[in-house]
Amino acid sequence: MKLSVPDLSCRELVELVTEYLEGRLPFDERTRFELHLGYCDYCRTYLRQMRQVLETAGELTEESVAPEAKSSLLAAFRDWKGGSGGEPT
Amino acid sequence: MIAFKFLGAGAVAPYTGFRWPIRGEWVSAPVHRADVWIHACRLSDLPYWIDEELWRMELDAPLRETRYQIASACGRLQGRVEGWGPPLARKFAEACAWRARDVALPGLPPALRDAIAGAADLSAIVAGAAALGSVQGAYTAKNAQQGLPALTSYIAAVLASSTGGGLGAFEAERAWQARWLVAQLGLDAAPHAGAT
Repeated sequence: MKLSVPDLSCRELVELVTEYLEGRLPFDERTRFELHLGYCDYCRTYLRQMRQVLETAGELTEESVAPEAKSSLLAAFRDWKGGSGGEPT
Repeated sequence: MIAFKFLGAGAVAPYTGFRWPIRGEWVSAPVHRADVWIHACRLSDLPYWIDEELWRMELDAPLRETRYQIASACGRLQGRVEGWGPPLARKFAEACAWRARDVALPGLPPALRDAIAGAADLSAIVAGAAALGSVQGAYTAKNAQQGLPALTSYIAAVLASSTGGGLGAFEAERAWQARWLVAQLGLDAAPHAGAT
């Protein structure tokens, strides 16, 4: 079977979403990204959610994180790195 | 240059969320930032970018024409193409589903081919395909029934590509879809009288 389409797969879109939202995709790659969004409601939803996450996270500063939350987060990252040592699952 | 643009409900750009002014005000992007220029469709590009609303728009130089769209640093909406709405979107999806049926028929197992070839409507394709285990066939017809034109037209083009023609067949199917839309909507890319 010879299959050839001009757009991305869902998996490729997920890998590129940060670059897309930060405006770092070259023109042709951005076109392929948006061609996929044209028909894929799942990826549209994903993009919307990622945009919300970035907008929300962008309002956070180091000072705005409560000391207890900061300690918990640092401990979690330390345990993660010192745990399995492998890729996050 | 006259072009067209699909937008979400309320003239909102589907990916950026930008709400387009609908009274003809010009919208500009930085000339040196081609990555944020305004995107629009030539008539042949329409099926790639289907959305809820279709608008006629005017683009000003500089322009950048690429394979599936055209981009400009400056553009404005000229008016909504009123013919594009849920009834025609459903009709388009159904036309694409029948095209997909015709493309798929030669490669189907005999029992499935007979069931689908004789189908009088999309419900019969859904039932026949589901009964004989063709998830793709049932899925395509069901999307068309639900009035999902972007997905159904994409599936029809992918099917054309998958039967051996590759990207050329994909684009040929998209070209057929564009001709269908242009004919049904009576579109042309000539400047309208009264447009300034």
